[in-house]
Amino acid sequence: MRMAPLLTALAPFLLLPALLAGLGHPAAPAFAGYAAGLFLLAVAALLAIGIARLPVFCLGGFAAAGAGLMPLLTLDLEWPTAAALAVTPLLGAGLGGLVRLSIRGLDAVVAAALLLALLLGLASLPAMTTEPGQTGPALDLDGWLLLPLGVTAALLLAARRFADSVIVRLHEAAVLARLPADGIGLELGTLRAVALVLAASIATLGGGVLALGPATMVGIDPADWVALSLALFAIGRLGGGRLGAALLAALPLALLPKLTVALAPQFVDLTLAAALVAIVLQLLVRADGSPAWQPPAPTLGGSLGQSRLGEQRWAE
Amino acid sequence: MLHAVTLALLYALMVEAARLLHAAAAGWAATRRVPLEPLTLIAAAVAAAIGMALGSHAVTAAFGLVPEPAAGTAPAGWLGTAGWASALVLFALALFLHDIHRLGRTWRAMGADAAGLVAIGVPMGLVLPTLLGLAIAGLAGHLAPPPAITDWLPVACLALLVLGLPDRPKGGATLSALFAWLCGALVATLELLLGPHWHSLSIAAVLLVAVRIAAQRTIRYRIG
Repeated sequence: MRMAPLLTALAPFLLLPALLAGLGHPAAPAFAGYAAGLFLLAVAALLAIGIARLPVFCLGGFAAAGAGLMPLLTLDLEWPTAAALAVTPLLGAGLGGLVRLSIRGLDAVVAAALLLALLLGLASLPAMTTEPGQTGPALDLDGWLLLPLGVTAALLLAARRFADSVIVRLHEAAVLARLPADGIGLELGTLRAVALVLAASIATLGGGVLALGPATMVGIDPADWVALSLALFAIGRLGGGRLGAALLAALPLALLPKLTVALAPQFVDLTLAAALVAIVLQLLVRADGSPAWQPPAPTLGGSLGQSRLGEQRWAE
Repeated sequence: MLHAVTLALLYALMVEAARLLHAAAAGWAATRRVPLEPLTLIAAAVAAAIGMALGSHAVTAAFGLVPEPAAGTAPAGWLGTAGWASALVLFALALFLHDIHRLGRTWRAMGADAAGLVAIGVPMGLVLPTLLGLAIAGLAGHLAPPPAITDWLPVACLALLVLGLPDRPKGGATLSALFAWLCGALVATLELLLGPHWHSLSIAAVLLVAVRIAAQRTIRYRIG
């Protein structure tokens, strides 16, 4: 993984919250939390959509589940906020495993429909666990803070090892050449299961970060989480297998729409509209820049590879 | 109650539009030798659902057709009546052509295997399904109540299911339209009976079960 492009893409996630804080804007802490959570969600989109190429529409739903878990643990069970945050990936791992089992053996379109239905249910969870007008749990600077930091570091390290693994590189090469993965001996079942569980864990952790208070950028309205989820789908597809590209895609699709809302709360949140524009552009223009209404350029796989990809299932 | 009937009809219209446009898109892609991959189909259906939600929201906000977003009513007056009349006529025409007329056989074959038809030299008639699909989708967007995610996300699921089911028997369009109508009625009825949160959760649960059952049917047909 080359670091220079990644750092360039990461810069707006650091500079924009710093700018708001420097200006003394009251929304600066909430926006900083949003930027941190969005970074984690971009990593999750990279793993599940960019690398494993699963039609995962419910990443925002996993995040909503993480956000919904935080008030339950901190307010009802009176856990320290940092400990509650560190536990959220466990919920994500469970959810990711269940989702993987539920879409095993399905066609892509049916799996996508199933995950859209799941998104609708998960996006409602924060509204069910949070009282109207309730502020989010605040993170204290004490020893407990090391716990979520350690969990985050471990998950990001695992994501990096996974993204740099040989099987992921071979899979990416097969996709680029339009070759059927099973034809070159790749076992995709394990790859997709690991990607989904890891992505769900990171996404719930990101949702937990988004729910940190006292003020938050993403409210308890299910529509906000659905919009975020669809934006993450576009981010994952735009980013492909590169974290820098996913972060760059997240800039106009998720970070800037919230920045405008943070600067002027009466401004309309354009996250959903930005996701729509990105999805339509992806339909019109291929990843290699050629227009989608023209036949694709010949590849190593040829017509055999194309037809096998067209019949691809998510079973393995 | 009026909201339930409106939403049920909208669901049926949207699903029929998705079926027609999918047949036209498959025919067009086969003619131009453009591969229509699963992720493209998924993205197109989701983009259409988001577009409908944003479009109907913008129209209702811009023209003041609905005073409050929570009212959940379609455009009133002659505009609404004319819209509904046109939509129902077009819908009946589309179902007749799809399931009874001989054109329907070609459309079903285009949706199932357009590349095979092109390979044996069958001409693709793309104009009629495209125009009918766009007209029905446009009218449904015009008549749609202000969107909530509990309204438009199930539409996206239904559209995806219609695109995903590989079997295209005679009468399938009418059956899927009836199924969509029932889904719309169920969504609206649950909204009347339950609070907003339990409404979302119950719709999600019903959808999950429905999609899983449909998925089993898909697999069985593929193997058979």
